[in-house]
This record gives sequence, structure tokens and C-alpha cells, in this order.
Amino acid sequence: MTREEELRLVRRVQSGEADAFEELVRAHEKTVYNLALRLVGNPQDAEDMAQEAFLKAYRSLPEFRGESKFSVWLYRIVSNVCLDHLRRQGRRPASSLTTEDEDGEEQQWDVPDESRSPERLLEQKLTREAVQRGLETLPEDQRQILLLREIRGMSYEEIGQTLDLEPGTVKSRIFRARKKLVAWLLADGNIPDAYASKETGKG
Amino acid sequence: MEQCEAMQTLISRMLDEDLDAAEQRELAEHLKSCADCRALYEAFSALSGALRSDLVEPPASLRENVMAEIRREQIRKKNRRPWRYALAVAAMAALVIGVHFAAGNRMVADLSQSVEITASAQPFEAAAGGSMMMYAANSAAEEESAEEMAPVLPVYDLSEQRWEDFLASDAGAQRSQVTADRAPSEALTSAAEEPELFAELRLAEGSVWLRCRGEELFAEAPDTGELVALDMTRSEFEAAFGEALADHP
Repeated sequence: MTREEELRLVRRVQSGEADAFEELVRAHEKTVYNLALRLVGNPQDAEDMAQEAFLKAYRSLPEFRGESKFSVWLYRIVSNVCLDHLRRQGRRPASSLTTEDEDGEEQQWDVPDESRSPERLLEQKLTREAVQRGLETLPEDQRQILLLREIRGMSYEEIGQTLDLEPGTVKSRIFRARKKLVAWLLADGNIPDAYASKETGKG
Repeated sequence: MEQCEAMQTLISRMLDEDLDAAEQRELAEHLKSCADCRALYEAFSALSGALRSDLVEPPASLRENVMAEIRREQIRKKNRRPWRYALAVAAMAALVIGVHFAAGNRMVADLSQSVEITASAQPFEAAAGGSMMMYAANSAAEEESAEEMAPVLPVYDLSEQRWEDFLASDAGAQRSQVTADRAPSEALTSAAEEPELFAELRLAEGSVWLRCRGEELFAEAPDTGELVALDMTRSEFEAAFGEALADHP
């Protein structure tokens, strides 16, 4: 959807056509949901957060003037809703959550299991579950900024507008988030062979 | 190695297509000879790829629930106006009746008073049918999950007070917030610029979130979620209600 098309839909909603909002939801629901999912960590909360964000956006739409992109405005709401939720829940303890992995078995989302052999660790790919665990060790603002870049695909300038930061700050925060996450994945044993073998001296 | 630290930031920016031609050449040259940085580039790429491609489809219920709630709100808005109009008619009728009957003066006073009380109670209780229920359900769910881990936000327990009493107290808001059919006022801030969460306030009807921007304190109205600016500053509130702080388990 182009910026003009988006703006047209926004105007229609502002003049009373609530149904036009459905088009905006359709255009953004996948990234909003995935952003929330990666931020809060479980599908139930993610759906609640996404729903709350869309409703807040709808209710505040009378105040949106189109000076920034609609998506920048929307993702600011999404970020705030998710961060609020995380703050209300308190800092997530490493060992409290369980979730199902692809095999349908329950996985304990906690610190890496010491009983895995080093050989098996090297063979493991960068799994979704491992990445998610690693994400949750990042401080929330680093997590959020990395996800806005990777999942939403926002430019540095747009992220700066969304979070009220200078582009330079955005760049360095993203870099630090990546570095930290990669370091964690390595310690967890979930990094691609090339990098892992470099660090462990094998292969 | 200092040079590598600088190169590493270039790697990160390269993934985001933020390098100019000169920087790209510089990085390419460096990567030819530096195995450490090549390894980092692969790790960053793998991570980026995993995050970007591993998207799931949102549940259908997401869009359905959003649109259902929006349509419900539209209906609620439409239904309020005819009701208010009927009120005005009833009030007028009461006044007219009062003029014609000598004993009607007291009757008019009673009638208009009960009409006013109904008017002020309506938004809160009408909301109880829809969003208040949702709110109550949400906060019940939040309280359930909050039990699993210690809350970070302080909790003020004023559960003997109702929302209206709180607003009328020293802490509350001068403005009367209870009008039917109101448009967003200056006191509201756009959801895109909400002040930070500060504390949870337990009242008789349920929990209310308090937010702050520096010393400015706001309360989220339980029925509409709109922000009400409070008279007390944050420090004043903490001092006045320190005793009401609930103990965490």
C-alpha cells in the first residue's frame, strides 16, 4: 500500500467510515502481530497486544494528521502497548515460561541445558526458539529496536521518528543488539558453524 | 583490534543498506583479509535472515475481534444521541408541567435532579455493558498472570473508594469527567505519546493505571481508557498515599 492509499483510507475512517479501518488492519496485521509476538514471547499475549494496539490506533485516529507516515505512528502505539505489558508483568525470570516447539512438545524457555554435548550444539541451526530465547535476554529497548528494523523493515530515519531518537543512536543501538544477541546465541550453542568453529577452534 | 570494531559497525549498517559506495568498498576489502569479521558478518546475516523470514500468520480472530469491537463502539455512539435527546425532551416536559401546577415545583426539582443523576451515571454503567466488562476481564487476566511474577509497579490500595470519589478527592481532577457523548478533550494525549506507566491504583470498581510525565500525574479512566490529568503531582501523590501501598507477596 502506498502512502497516498494509506492516507486516503485514514481520511475515510476519520469521516466516519469505520469499515475502511479494516483495510488498514489487513495491511499491517502480520507485522504488528509478529512484532508483538517477538516482543512479548507468547501467542496469547501477542494477540491481545496487537488487538489493543489496533483499537488504540482507531480511537486516536481523529488526532492523526498525516505529517508522519501512518505506519510510524501505528508502530509507536504497538511498541508502547507491548512495553507497557512487559513492565506490568515485571522482569521475566529466565525459567518461568514454557511453550511448544515445532514437534508439539513443551519446551522449557530457560537457560541452555548443560547436558547437551558440544558436538550436538555445533550441529544445531539457528532455530526460531533459540532466537526467541536470546531476544528475551536483551533489554526491552534493544529488543524493540532490533525488531522494528528486522520485522517491520523500517529505515533508520523511520525508527528514529517512531522512538524519538537520532538516526545515529538508532544505528548504534541496533549494532549493540545484534552483537549481544549473537554472543548469547554462541554461548547457547546455536550459531552457524562458521562462526562457532571460529570461536571454539574446531572444524 | 580497533579497526575491526569500526568495521563491525559497518557490517551492521551494510545489512541495513546504509553504506555509501566508498564504505562498501572499504568493507569488502577488509572482509577479504579478516576472518574474524567474515565470521561476524555471517552470524549477523544468519540472525537477520532468521528474524526477517520467520514470520507467522496472525490468527483470524485478531482482525475479527478488532472490527467487532469497532462496530460495537459505533453502535454505542449512535445510540447515545437519541437517548440524550429524549432526556432533553423529558426535562423540558417536566419544566412545562411545573409551570402549570403549583405543587409541581417540588416535583420538577425532584425530577430534574433524578434526571441529572441518571445522566452522570450513564456513561460509566453503559460502558459496563461493553468495554468495562472487557476491561474487568482484562484486569482479571492481568492480575492472574501478575501473580506468577513479582510486579515491578507499585500498587496503591484504595479499594474502599469509588472512581468518582477519587476524582472528587484532593488527588483527583477538578474537571468533571463524567459527561455523555464527549469529544476527545485537551487533557487527552494521543496513544502515540502516552506518558509512562507509574503505578496501579486499586479502587472499588477495579484497578486503574496511573501514568506520569515527570511530575504530572494522569489516571486512565476505567470506562473509556481516556487519560485524566490529576491535581496532585507525582511526589504529592506518593507522599499522601504512601500508607496505601500494598505489600507484594
